[in-house]
Amino acid sequence: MAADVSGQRLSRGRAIGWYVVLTALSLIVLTPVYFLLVRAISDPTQAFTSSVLTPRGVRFDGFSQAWERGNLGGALARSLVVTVGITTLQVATSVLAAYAFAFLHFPLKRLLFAVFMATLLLPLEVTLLPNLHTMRDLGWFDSYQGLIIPFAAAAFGTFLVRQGFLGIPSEIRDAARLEGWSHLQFLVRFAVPLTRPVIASFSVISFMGAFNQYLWPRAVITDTDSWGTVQIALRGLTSRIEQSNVPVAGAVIAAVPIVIVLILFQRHIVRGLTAGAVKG
Amino acid sequence: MTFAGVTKRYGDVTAVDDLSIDIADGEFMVLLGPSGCGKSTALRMIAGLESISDGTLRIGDRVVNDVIPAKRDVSLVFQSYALYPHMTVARNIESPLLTRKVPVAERRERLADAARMLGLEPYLERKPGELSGGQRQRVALARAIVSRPSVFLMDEPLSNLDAKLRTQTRAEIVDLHRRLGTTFVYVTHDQVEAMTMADRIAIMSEGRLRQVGTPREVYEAPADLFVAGFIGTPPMNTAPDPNDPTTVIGVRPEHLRVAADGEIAATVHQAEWLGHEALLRVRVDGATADWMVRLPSGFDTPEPGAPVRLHAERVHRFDADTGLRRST
Amino acid sequence: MIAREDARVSDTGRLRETLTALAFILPSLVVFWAFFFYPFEQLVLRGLYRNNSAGTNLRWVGWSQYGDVLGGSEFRDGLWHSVQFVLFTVPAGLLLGTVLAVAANRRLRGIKVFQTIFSSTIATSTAVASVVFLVLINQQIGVYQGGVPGFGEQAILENPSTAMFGVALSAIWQNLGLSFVIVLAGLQAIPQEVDEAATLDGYGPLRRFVRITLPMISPVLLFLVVVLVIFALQAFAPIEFLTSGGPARSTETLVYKIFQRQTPDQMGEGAVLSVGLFGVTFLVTLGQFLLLERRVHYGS
Repeated sequence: MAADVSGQRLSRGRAIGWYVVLTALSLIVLTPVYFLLVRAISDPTQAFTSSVLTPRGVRFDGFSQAWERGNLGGALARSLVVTVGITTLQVATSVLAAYAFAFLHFPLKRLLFAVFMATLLLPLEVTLLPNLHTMRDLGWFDSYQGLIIPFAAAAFGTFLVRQGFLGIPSEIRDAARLEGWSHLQFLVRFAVPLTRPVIASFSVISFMGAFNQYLWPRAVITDTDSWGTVQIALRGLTSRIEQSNVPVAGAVIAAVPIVIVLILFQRHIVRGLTAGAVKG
Repeated sequence: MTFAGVTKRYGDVTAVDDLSIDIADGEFMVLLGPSGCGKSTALRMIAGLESISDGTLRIGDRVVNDVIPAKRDVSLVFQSYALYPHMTVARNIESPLLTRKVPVAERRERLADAARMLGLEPYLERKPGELSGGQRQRVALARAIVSRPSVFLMDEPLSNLDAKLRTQTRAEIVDLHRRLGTTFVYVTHDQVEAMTMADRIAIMSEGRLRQVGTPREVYEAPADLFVAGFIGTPPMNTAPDPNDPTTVIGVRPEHLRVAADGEIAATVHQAEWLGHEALLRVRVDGATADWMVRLPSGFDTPEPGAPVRLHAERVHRFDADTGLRRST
Repeated sequence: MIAREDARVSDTGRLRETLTALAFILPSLVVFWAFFFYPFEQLVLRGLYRNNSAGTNLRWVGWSQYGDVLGGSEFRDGLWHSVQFVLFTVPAGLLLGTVLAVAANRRLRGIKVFQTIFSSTIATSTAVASVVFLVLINQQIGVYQGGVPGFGEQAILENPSTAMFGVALSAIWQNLGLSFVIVLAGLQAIPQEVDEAATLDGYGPLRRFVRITLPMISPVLLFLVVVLVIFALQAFAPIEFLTSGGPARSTETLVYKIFQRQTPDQMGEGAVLSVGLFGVTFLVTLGQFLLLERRVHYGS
């Protein structure tokens, strides 16, 4: 039965006490979501007054209206293209770079690794203005390349995958070396399959990050109707906040893809998010 | 295979110092020594996994110092087996053939041969994670034999098995050697493995070769005090010669007999009864450690503290300074 | 044991190995150069030029523009608002994350369900979390349309004194999942014997937490602080969704001010603000790194 962290059995009374605490905390975490759902199906005119604790004048057309007005179908498709594009490229470039830093010998290796890690100090928020200038020069506003290419590489991914590569037991590396594989063969046949959990974690984290991006698409998309991603479309919907059920229903729709990803890959996500926090 | 003055240095540390051994074709050579003695480094130099700082290494009549591992025609069984966990047993075994452009038909045949020889046929489609320790060990052996190398290298291959399986696998490896007839170089720190399996044993300590010889030679005529103290369970008893300070005498426990007229005076410290025999732990004047006396079973073990006299049937003599064996 | 030679996995010649390495890191390097280092260089240089209102006619002014902008009220206000955001979100995230993690770190039947609930806000984007808080505290559609007690009648987001707090609420909620997951990982990494030993020594639960658990998870908490501070300094969506920088520009953080300076005539100023943001981020990261180093040395 129940035991607390130190392995002691909990008395029935203490176990119930903890259930009460845990349930109360769950309610606090979930209450905002509850109100979101209530508002999404409440009639905006009736719900205009404060203290809407339960649905008023239930209607579900907020979802269909949000879908049409926000062009959410198109936005979801674009978000998917952008997200898959960014994730694929980040994983590919990170795996390649991580391989070089883990297994290859070349001049200036340490310096180059430091250069990679230094990009962590240059978040997009800092370099936003000159990057927009670059977009203007390249004519990449309102384009997939403009939304994807600036994120085609990731220092975090390189770091994480390199750690994974270095964790491959040295005897397995020796065994493969005796067989005489080339670097590309070793990468494809050994290094990548052996670090699948790490690469999967990074892929999921990268996917979530890309899907949830806001600032960059907000700056690079000028034609929100034909180029808006889901998050940007959501911004458009909130401009008419008095029709509250529509933007709120839009937010519910926007959250669905990541909720699905979270349900499917919770383990990977937790491992990826805590990779920097706990050793081993 | 010939080591000629082979040396391995890591910065200031010398891991293998001026090693010279000839290993005959088809011989089962065991490199034996305590951990850190350089035996594994020597093995890895044969495989090409470590570069050679000095000296030359020949395999057949070819100097292989600068030959890459894959072209040395050797295979290595690792201590941890180093199986590829993401591949099936079959893929593991045939992996060495994939880089060697062996035709598909021949590859299948060799895989089947290796699997049959080691009784792995039922497990070919499993992953290493689903196998027992002993089965994994066989997969490692199968992967080593499939490329038909001219030299087999084994790095403490039995150390991850339990005692019973170890004895059994020992016999199987000896069998394998007999059937294949190729050169085996086998690294271990376990003298029982060395004594039971080897044609010849090379005993190393602190990067240096102490003695090469058949199991019988190293047991009966240890080249120096290190070998004398390393081989044999319990090892050889030693003490300064009371009549000659430049000499250290050594006596194997089974060459000591309790006798009223014995020439060595000792005091009983402890008696260990093992069933088929008893070991008597005695204190001898001048010796730094207790001497062990092997008594046949049925012999009445004296009480601790009792004085005994011992007779040595066979005495080895070593130089007190160099530790080397005196030839007389 | 003596260190093994190196992590070699294949025996290609030196030159080929270098070329392979170059080919492998080049894709990343190109991206990093084009979208990280080159723009940073542009930022620093751009700050050295003043422009007229049309954004043309650039004039070299040396470091004087840096002095003007970084000493001016825009940067000061933006920095202050960013710092406010940090002060609202980071301690709260730390505290709530720890409370949730401690509560959920025990062997009870069904604990996985609670753990999933506590980590659920990971699934929200900043935009979605912002809409959630529109529903909660917006003056028009909010469940709660009043103000913060003691700060007047005005709705939270309409009152310049409380708007930043309201914006921060959405970030606090959105960060709950991440904070929980990170602290929980820290708690789970504590060897069970340590806790058992403390129990045997007669420590009560509270003393056990303060004397044993807290010190042992302090590196993890520090990591969480780093993450939360950086998130806070980069926050943008909640501000745009909830207040658009208002009321009375009271929620214009540094990032928000930078975002507003996309037009050519404001580029110079925007560039200096960006360098300022970089400086702040850099100092915070450096400070936390040094703190971490010191802690590690104490530990050993």
